[in-house]
Amino acid sequence: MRKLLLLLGVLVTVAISFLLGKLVQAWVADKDLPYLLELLLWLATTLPLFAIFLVGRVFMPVRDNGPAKSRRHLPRQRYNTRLITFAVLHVVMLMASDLAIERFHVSVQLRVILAVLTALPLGGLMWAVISLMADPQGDEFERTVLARSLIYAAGMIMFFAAIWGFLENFAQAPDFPLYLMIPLYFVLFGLTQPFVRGTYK
Amino acid sequence: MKNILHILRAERRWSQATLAEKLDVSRQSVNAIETGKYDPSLPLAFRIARLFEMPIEEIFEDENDDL
Repeated sequence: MRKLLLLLGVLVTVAISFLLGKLVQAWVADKDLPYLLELLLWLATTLPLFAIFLVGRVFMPVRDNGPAKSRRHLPRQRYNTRLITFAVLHVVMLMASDLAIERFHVSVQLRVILAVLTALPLGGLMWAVISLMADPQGDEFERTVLARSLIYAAGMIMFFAAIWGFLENFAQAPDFPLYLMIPLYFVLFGLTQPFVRGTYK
Repeated sequence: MKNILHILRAERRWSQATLAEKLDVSRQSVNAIETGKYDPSLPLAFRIARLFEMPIEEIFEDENDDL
């Protein structure tokens, strides 16, 4: 029930963020705001998404998935902290770069640097997951579930990429934005975990 | 791998959570091992054997012990 409520909360906050984005887009269209102010406005539209993460941590604390005793939740806590840190870094870099390219004349070299800097936190997200899986303080069963989920998610994302590639070649399907691969991978990673856990019941 | 973990636990009137705490693993680990769906690592199997003061092969039964 709590998980269902959290899912509902996530959907509502995504909708709120989307609407806020549209409002900001309409509001800034005819204004010549300074770069930093407009960036802050855009960043504010993502706040509900981070708020739901904090609400989730308060109402759905990490439960008994790790080893017992006081260090039970440490690997998950480390993972959550790393996840939120890299997610924030990515969002800030993405919005700052996007707005800078739109506002100023940015050279190709600088665009390359901005592209790499925007993608780096996504690499951090991958590192956070792999670290959780390899955490020596973690629970071995939990590690097995994570490893299987990661493999299934990787398999599914590669399969999806192959299908979409052929659709682009044979059926003129629109280009799939490759940068969405990692967010999609995380969604699949999250979705496969309950199924993997279910196989052990 | 079949095992008698749930019997040993019941004899001592321990809950899965209690056993998990004694073994320093999650309750889900204990549940998965008891149902035979998850085979513990060798270090964990040794910890289980030490806790119940029994040889590993008396707790775990290898279903493919042809060798």
